[in-house]
Amino acid sequence: MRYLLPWGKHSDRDGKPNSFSIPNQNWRMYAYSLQDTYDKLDLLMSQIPDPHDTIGSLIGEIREGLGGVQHGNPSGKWANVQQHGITFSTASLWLRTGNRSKSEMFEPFQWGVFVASCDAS
Amino acid sequence: MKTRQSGIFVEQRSRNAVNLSEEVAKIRGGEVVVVDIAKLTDDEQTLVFGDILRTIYALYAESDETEIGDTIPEKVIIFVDELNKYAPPRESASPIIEQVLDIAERGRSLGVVLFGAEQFRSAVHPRVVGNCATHVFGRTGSTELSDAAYRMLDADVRMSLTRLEKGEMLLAHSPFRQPIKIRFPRPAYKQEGVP
Repeated sequence: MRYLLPWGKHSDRDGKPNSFSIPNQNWRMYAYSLQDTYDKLDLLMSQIPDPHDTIGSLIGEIREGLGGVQHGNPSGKWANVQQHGITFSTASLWLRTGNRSKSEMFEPFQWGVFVASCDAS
Repeated sequence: MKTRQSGIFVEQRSRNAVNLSEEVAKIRGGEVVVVDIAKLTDDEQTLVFGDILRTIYALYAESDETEIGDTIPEKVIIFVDELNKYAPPRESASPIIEQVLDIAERGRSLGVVLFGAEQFRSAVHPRVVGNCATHVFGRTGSTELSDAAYRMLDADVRMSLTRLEKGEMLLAHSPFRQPIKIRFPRPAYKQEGVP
């Protein structure tokens, strides 16, 4: 039996996973760096209703903005992804409209549809 | 900008933290790997579950026959609680639903088996339910039983589902012409005559 337990906010300090109970042996902690996750962002946003398939375009845009993705080694940080316009919470997901310089490829109606879907969820 | 995350996302993984998909891909025959997602947020749970499904599916879909049984197990069983959370019966597709459907519809031929448990069968995507080879029912209310997801059962059998006792279940499997009642043994410490 092998246990994989999630890394938590305090794991750096106390070395303990974010779990209700910790087995005596055979356990390791797992975490997601952006390098591990940049090609799985679609899964992270799976719970968001997306009837017009807007999120796929958004994710493509985010990945392009990270740089280095072509070589499998994105250079950005999680903060860069967030600043690009998305917070990772379905309830509070919203689009940042203040800085669209990197997102001109999207038609305004697409943004509108996306925001409406998120508001409805 | 506020974020809600459990701490699973890090800028750089420390030496004490592993890459989940790499770790899952190391599975060997006879081994049980338990991935704890209990304290993660809903979005994080979806990411982790989808990551596991994608990793296992790719492991089998991209391997040649000589590797199966040698470097990777002949079969892998993925057990997930509350499957309805990841494969709800909504019409629009999502990456996680696609991933679950891939396993449900094509996984069996590759050697990947999905075990799902949920309170209500009607809350699971019909294509997932339709691809199940074995169904196990616990005591179920008549309102739930009126859903189309239970149409495969005779009216009499449906009625009997409302009267099951604790520990009793109904197993429907294609080799049996009719569903059969099974009973979970009482835990050893509750059985009479066991010291």
